[in-house]
Amino acid sequence: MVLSSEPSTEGLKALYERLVQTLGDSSDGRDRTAVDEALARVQGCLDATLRQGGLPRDLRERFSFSVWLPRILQAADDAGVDDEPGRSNLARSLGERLIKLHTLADLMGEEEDLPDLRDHLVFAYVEAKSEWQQLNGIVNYGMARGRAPSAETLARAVLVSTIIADLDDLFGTENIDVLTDYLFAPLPNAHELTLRRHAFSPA
Amino acid sequence: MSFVSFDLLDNLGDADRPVADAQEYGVVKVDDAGVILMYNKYESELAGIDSRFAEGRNFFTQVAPCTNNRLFFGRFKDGIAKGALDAQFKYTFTYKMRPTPVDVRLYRDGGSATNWVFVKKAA
Repeated sequence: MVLSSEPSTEGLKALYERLVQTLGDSSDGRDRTAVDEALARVQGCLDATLRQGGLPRDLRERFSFSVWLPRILQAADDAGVDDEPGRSNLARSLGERLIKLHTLADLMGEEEDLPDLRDHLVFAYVEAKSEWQQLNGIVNYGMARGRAPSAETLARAVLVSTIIADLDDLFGTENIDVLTDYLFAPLPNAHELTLRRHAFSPA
Repeated sequence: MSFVSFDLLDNLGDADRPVADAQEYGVVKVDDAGVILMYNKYESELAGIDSRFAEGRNFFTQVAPCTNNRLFFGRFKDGIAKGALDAQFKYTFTYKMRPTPVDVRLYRDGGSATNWVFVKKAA
């Protein structure tokens, strides 16, 4: 479905160009350098953390099913997922995430793969946080509308947030704050990011 | 019936950390943007977040991202914009903790121009 207010690609481009003109001289090269320096610093910190953690072995252990099975069962008990199909669904949905992280760690185990592994961990973080936001919406809007969330939804929300907590350990506070800030309002932030890139691009 | 004591509500301008820590519910003081100025002991234990980590961060976006929606943060922003905020509702926390139903009260104290988030585990 296309929203009626959604601008076309050309329309967006024109919009950005107008906005860049409006920004005018406030976006000079020094800002771009500062952004690059800050990015290089936080990426360097993350890479160092990943190396110190002994990735990819650490990643495989951290997200192994043997580590996660007790957590899954605990979350199911806490939320009241008593039936076997519900517990199996929970294990399967979490298992898919764990397998994905394992496979990435297996495939990107060389030093030169580190930038790609880092990016994929960011994808996994954004994916987990986005899913948790949706589950949180189902839980709390459901309550507000008099439709109590299912036990499985509650357990899944808790488990996805536990994956986020494990990834938090890898990323460090500064990176987490930046990603959290971005996900606070992804659409406006994505537009602003694109706008800034246009503003910083050499003519 | 609110879980927040009338005594506390009447004296929010003087509510310092010992007073906040003495309450049997979460007491979080935030500025108009939601940045945490004070995070009491109950809330710290409920969320598993150290007060020193929480204070200085945004409650709605950084510390309790489950509140980043129209139901919670939206009510806060509306109240701040109007200069009057007193909303009580039920909520469920699921972020890095077992599912925890809570009662919430968002409150702006006109006299001291301070904003408060009160949280208590539902009975």
